[in-house]
Amino acid sequence: MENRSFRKFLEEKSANIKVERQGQRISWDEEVKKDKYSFTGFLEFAYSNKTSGDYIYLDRSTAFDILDRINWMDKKIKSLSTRLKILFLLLVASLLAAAWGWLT
Amino acid sequence: MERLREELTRRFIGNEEVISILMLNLLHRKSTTLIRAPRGTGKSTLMLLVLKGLFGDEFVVISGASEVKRGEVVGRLHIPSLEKKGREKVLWAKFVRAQGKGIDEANRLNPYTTANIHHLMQFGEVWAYGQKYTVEDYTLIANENPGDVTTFMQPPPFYDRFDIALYLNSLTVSQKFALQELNNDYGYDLIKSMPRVMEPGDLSEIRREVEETEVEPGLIGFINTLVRDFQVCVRGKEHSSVPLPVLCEGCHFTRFVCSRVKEPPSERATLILLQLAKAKKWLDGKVEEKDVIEMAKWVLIHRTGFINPEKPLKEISELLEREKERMFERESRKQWFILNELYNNFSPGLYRTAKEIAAEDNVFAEELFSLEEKWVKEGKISREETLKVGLGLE
Repeated sequence: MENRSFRKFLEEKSANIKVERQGQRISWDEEVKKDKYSFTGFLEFAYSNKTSGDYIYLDRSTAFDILDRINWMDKKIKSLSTRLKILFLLLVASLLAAAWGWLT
Repeated sequence: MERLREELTRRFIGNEEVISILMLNLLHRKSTTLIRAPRGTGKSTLMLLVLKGLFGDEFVVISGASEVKRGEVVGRLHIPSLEKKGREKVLWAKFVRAQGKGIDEANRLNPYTTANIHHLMQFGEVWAYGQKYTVEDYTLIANENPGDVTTFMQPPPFYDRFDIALYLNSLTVSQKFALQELNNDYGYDLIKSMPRVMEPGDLSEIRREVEETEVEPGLIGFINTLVRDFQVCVRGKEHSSVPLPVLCEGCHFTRFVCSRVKEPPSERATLILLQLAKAKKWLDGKVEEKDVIEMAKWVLIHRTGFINPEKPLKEISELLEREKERMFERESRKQWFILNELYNNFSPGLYRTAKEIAAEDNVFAEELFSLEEKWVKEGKISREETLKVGLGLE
């Protein structure tokens, strides 16, 4: 069923939008938003509780920084999982030894 | 209504913001208001002042703190009719018949009384001894102290029946002086001094006019979008047994209002907001989006379960502040225009833009999902390229 009041709302919202139509193509000018919360830097986005703008930009050095951190975390995860496996094997072995001692 | 405001503000010190919304809420049929405040902050006084101003002495107040019997709230049997004619005639209680109804300390009502009042508010009728009484238009004002140790926990659907919940603050030093002066002027009986400002039919006439007042589709859309922001969850929290915030882990929309709302408000929130908007337009000649945001605070606060429920007023104010930003972003993105274009005609370029927008707005995403369904059926797009699949929701 067609929702007439919703379409009416959409049409009212569209009525004041200035666009240029060239056949199938529609274009419009974007206003530059100067809002106190609309920052676009990645570090502000990551560490601030305030609302950011729609697009977040990264400079090359921040991107390298993040890559470095991801690689470091990858390595850390690998070494920790190896350590965990060893600890698990040791635990199983000591449990078996304890069980053997208790039975004999 | 201006006279009522004047007489009220003359006798009720502080909490001006609350008076404005309370006045607006009186302007629609079957108006219900809940006043929440610590003891001694004037919640009973405010309730009685409004009821006295509207109905003179023709209002009934029941108190949760005293023993309320069924006969006093709903009705009792007329014994002579039963004895002489064997007929069960019900004498309906003044509380159900009166247009002005008050409930003092609603959180201390027993479950039977609460159930009867809940039924009255839900269906506009009460039942006793197999007989029904249909309740006409009324004004119900209740108050409670949420910090009080109560006898019974009232169910959330009962609170949902209240159009608005108002929170009162205690008085500042200068306001205390003002109250002492007032008490001197009115002989320590503020309620008795309150005049009736309306004739019996005036309020009904006002409510009829407010009901007929029209609000612009843009503002109705604003109200619907605002409430939807508090309800929406692309992971379906309404029917999920996984609690928040666990359900939100890894969700694309975690920075939105939805991630701070555990229990979304009911659909009644949109209806009440629309009624309040109509009332504002009737009273002041205009109503704007910022007014709706102000009203929403009192409409949503008792209907919404927050992740951080410790300070509900602070939480709702913060979330509504975020909403202002979000509504601004929606306007800047021209998203409703794009949706309108897509409704009129499918265009791959606009669809791509709409998908980018939907990644920033879950409410918009929902609308796009339903359009995508249509396009998939019509063979305009494949299921794999839909946003739902892209977001991993299908």
